Amino acid sequence: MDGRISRRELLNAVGAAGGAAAVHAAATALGLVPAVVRAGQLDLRPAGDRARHVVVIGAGIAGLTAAYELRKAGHRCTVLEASHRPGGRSLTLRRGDVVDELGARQVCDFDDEPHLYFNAGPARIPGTHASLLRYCRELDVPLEIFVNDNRNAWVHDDAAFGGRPIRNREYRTDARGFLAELLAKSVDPRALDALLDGDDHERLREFARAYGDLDETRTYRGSDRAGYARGGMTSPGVKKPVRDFSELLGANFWREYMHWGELADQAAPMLQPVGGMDRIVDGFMRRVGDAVELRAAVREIRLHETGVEVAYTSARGEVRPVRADYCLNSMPAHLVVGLRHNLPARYVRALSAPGRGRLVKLAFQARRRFWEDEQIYGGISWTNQDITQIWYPPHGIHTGNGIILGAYAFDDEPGYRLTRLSPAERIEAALVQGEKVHADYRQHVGRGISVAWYRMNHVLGCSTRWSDEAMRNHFAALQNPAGRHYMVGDQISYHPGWQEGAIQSAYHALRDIERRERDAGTAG
Amino acid sequence: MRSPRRAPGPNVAAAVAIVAVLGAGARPAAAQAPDDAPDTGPSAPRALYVAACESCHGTDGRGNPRIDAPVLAGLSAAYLERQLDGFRRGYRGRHPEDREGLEMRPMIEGLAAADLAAVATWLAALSAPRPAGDAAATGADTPGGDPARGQTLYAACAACHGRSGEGNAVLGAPRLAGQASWYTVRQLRKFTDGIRGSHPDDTSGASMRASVADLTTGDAADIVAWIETLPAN
Repeated sequence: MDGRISRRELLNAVGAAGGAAAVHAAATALGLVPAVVRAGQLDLRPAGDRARHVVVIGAGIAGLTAAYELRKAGHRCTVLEASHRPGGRSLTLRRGDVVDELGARQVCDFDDEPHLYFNAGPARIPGTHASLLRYCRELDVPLEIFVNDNRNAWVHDDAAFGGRPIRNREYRTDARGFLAELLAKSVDPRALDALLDGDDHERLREFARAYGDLDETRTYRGSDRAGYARGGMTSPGVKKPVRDFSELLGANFWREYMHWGELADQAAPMLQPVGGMDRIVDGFMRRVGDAVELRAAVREIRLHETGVEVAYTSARGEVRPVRADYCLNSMPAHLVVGLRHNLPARYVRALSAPGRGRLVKLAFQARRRFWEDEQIYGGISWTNQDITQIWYPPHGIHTGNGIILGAYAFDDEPGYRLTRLSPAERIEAALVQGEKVHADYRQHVGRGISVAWYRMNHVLGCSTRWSDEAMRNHFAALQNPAGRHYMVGDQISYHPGWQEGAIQSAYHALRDIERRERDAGTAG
Repeated sequence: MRSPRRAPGPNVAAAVAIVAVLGAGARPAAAQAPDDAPDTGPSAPRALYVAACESCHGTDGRGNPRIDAPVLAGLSAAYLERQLDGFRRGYRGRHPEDREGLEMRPMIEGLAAADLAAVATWLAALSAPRPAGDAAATGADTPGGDPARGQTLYAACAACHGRSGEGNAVLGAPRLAGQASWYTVRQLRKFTDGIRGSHPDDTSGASMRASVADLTTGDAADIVAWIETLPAN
């Protein structure tokens, strides 16, 4: 050391004075550890003698978050939920549960066993969803690892490989091999001089070789990364023949799903609540369930100078008013415009801007865990058919049966094609399409149930489709309140379709309310 | 480990139970309740409406352009019942290109004719909202036609639908005043394209279809622009 204090010495000194937390803070400031982007946490101040009454519309994750935080701070809450159950789209289906689809009510007839559940809405939690995970801890919701990306699952495309599925690992290994060979053989020092110095040219070739598992001549001749065709234990492993790259290009897999596990919110490892996503809803309901009224269908919203009046039809068919200081509204924006209201025209235009997504999920109870015979434990097989994907449960491994996700269409067109079918027709479509991925699929799976969110009562669309233009012109108007009325939910976030988006939207509104109350208190 | 069993059924089941409880003695909805003071007493038809219709058609049948759901308030009970019957019997909501009709059709199954009649009567007594303002606010595709030209063209419509678009019960022609313009435009297109009114059982639809056979898109926009100027109630 040239007389200057080293960074380590400084940290030691800081630690002596301030403990580990101070070391961490100082190290972060010095750029020695990466600053973790903390999803804003909420810390409402105790209400004291300024307790307020807030009416919350919708008992999904946003509404329950708001109720829980407001209660914790000492405010009063009334939660109105139109459906027969709390949770919104955080819906887990087990034996006897009702799917309240418009004109096509279904009842789940899975066997009654703890691992036989179907997360029909959100089903996976990335480690970056800090607020949701904090609630899991706070509400005693045990978590387990969820398998999202599985290289042993299948890739199917009608337009490639004769319509036969191939292993995910085989597809991506051959694709990488081809790309790497192309790179290694086309590195042109003259073209690269501006970017890399001479030593780097060689490193780049070696990078390509490692990336694609090329041989010493920088040629791709197949790789055991794709899995052996045979052998590899007591006899020499025999590599699979290399796929024709033009055939790999012929499958749509490379467009999006090949890179699924690279997405920040889809990458391994992911988590799921033990026993079903609605364990989180149960956790909230244990704390605030007494404030939630079910089958309470809001029919009118009136803004007043000093509050919001909401009228709803109760389960008994009576129209009842609720007067509150504030309203947090998680109804889908496209349903708010069908209410009686005195909301400003600009606000109504914004409510009308986002589109209604057409996600469809469908699940089967399998008679046996046939996928485990195919060496698949959790994860997703992808297909270019409308069902789009098949998910294998990461829980209940080696038990006799399981719930397999037989379809999860999230693009509008396949979603709409499945939505238009009756529940029985959807099941048949999922069987026909699933048979292209797994031979004897039909023999292995039995009772099925589907949730077409575009047709679910009180929802009528998932997830929110914000076009760039709608986002630019209308998002801010909805993120801001109309009087004392706040729209919340994942729809009012840049992360629609995720519970974390719902939580953060509630935080955004609650912080604004706290600011207004503080300003009012100061003024008074 | 099981969570407590959830409530057994959706709202429709609850509403049917309410109807059974309230029965024929339920207080009828007040006629022509003004828009800012709707009748809100307990009523069996409302309970049914809330359970089976409100998600899409909005509070008190005011319609919701975001769900492609038309205004129902103020339409005659006879017209509503006939259309509901059409959905039940299949002369509405079966045409493969009738996207909105196909969405409506399954709603009718499992509902008793008597309940539908009660809801229709209840809706007929409600007053329509002010759809023109609503449409502008929600950005629904308004026709943007010429009301003056529309007034002239409307003379042909008035024979059945009435000079003020009030409808004609004897002829089975629905009220047009108060209906959302985006909906009327779309139905006119469905009639001219044969998506509506071409089923052999749909006799009134067939006469409507014949009446609008030569209507251009521009004509339809102008007519609807005129209808927009007619008082809703």
